[in-house]
Amino acid sequence: MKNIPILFCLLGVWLSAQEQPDAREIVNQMTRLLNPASSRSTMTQTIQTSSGQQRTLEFDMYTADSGRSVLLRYNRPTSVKGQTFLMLNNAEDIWTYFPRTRRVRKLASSSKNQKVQGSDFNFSDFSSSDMWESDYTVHLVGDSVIHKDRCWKIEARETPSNDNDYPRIVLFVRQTDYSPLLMWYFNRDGRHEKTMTFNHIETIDGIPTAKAMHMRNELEFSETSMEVIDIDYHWTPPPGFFSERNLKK
Amino acid sequence: MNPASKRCLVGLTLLSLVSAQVDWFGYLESEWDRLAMNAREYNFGYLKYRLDMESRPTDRVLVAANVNFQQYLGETTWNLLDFLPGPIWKPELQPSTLPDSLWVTEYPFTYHDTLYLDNAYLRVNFNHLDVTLGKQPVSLGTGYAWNPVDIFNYKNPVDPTYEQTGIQALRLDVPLTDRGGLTAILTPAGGWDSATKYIQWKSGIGSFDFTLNWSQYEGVYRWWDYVLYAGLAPTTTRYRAVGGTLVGELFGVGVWTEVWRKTQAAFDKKEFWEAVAGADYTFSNGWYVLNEVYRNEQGALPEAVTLYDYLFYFNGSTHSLMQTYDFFYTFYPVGDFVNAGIFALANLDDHSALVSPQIEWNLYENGTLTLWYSTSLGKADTEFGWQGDGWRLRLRTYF
Repeated sequence: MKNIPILFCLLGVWLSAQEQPDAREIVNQMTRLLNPASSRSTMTQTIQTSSGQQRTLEFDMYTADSGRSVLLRYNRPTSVKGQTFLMLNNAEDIWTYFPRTRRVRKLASSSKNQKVQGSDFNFSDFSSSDMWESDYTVHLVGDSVIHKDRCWKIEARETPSNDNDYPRIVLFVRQTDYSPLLMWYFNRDGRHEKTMTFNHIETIDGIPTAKAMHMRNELEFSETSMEVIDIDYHWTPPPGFFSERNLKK
Repeated sequence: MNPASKRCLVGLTLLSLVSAQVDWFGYLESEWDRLAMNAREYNFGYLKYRLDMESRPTDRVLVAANVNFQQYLGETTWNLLDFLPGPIWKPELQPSTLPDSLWVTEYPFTYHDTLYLDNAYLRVNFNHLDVTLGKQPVSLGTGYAWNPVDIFNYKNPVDPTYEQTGIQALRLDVPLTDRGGLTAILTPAGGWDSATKYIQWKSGIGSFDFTLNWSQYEGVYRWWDYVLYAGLAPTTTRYRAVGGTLVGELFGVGVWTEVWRKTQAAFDKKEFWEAVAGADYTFSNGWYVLNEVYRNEQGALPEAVTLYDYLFYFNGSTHSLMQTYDFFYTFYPVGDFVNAGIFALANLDDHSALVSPQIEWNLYENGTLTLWYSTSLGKADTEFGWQGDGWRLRLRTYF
């Protein structure tokens, strides 16, 4: 009889372990949330440099195949108006179109980790990816509270197949709906390089959507904010939409 | 502008005005240049105003046009002979067999202020066909500094990304897959035989895109022996050409190549090969490196280069003066919206080069400022070696 409390404790621990999804499952749910089947959105991007200069850009973004195909077309300012990027296969293949010369240029994948239009976002940030699945092992390292929301704190460490610049990423995922609220990116020197926050989360067409995202470079002290002006998850791409033909339209 | 072009422009403008809202935009560009050469200094530049209009009466139709006004500043009348190495032109124009009084000492040309219709075209997208008609930008090939397969434009390797003036053409694009299709370009001429016909088939395999290209067009025939000795004017000849392009990546390095073989349809049916191959890479800190090697069999050999080879090159009849070149370009983002770079253009035949450090600064959302300095290396009678030092400042403001 004296072993009964121990059994109850073990049962309690086992049950609580069953309630807590494992890190991989959390990350998979988060990835599904971030990458709906397809979408069409208009966004603004405001870049604030360390010296206080500011640039505001507006673009239309179209995604399909759960974010594996992305087309990004700039509307303003005039200096980049019409400039378009087509990213396929999780930004492994990138084409850029310059309207004044009508030239299409294929970019090497070495450029996918480069800043887009001087912002703190790079090409791979715009494309969803299988990177959480293939490039990182994930571990649940605890719970946290961010803005009164209970979050899972997950640490992602690179696998040998990782080709992006961050060997370690720490994520905070809201427990109520798997929305990511915060991500810390650590570079190869082990330094905390970037912080990404997801704000103003609203449910649109049943999908929790961060209407504002903010990326801060902790080493260069630059910041980029992205705001969703309009988003449509019911949009489906017409045949041939993610093609060089449409890049030039 | 000829009357037909004027009618076309008026028609397009009226069509766009009545059928949809017109989007007006453009830029103002100002450039100042300073060149020190042959113990002389030249100061010159221009003010360019480009006004674009675009209208989309329906989702399937685009009407676009732009006019450029360019006003030249400073030195506007030039002596062509100042820009050629003396040993190249003196034997032709100042032969020792003639008295000094009969020597040619100058070949002047003047830049006049211009207002011209740069582009004016209509594009209609059908389900399985895109039709573009009018004066339009045409850009072919994968190379950065040179595009052998692009017979419509002649890039300046010193400023290879600068926009080119439009080409009067009918262009048909038939998409066959998401990554490619068939393109046919026809430029008008006096007759079908003298019209330029161009066909390109594009496709992709893995991370590579490739094209196969064919063309028949008229070009200037290199007839200099006859010009020189029999007093004939350069004549045109029809060329048939085939080639292809390839672009992709190997181990993260961007690679591309273009090959073009053209054959004269008449005379001695001589063949010329032209090819370019390049690679680029972007390091994780943003440092970008590009190198391109170019070979043009239609260029002159260094031991046999003549005044007429220079003229042949200057009038755009060939993509290079000599045969083998290397282009190297690198830049690094040194600060907020500032790139510092350097390019080198080397003539591997006569061992001369042009080296140019440059800074590009995105001053504000719609403004860029670029500063170049260039210096030359090589012997005094080489393509680049005789050139002096130069500065260029370019400011562009979009609206």
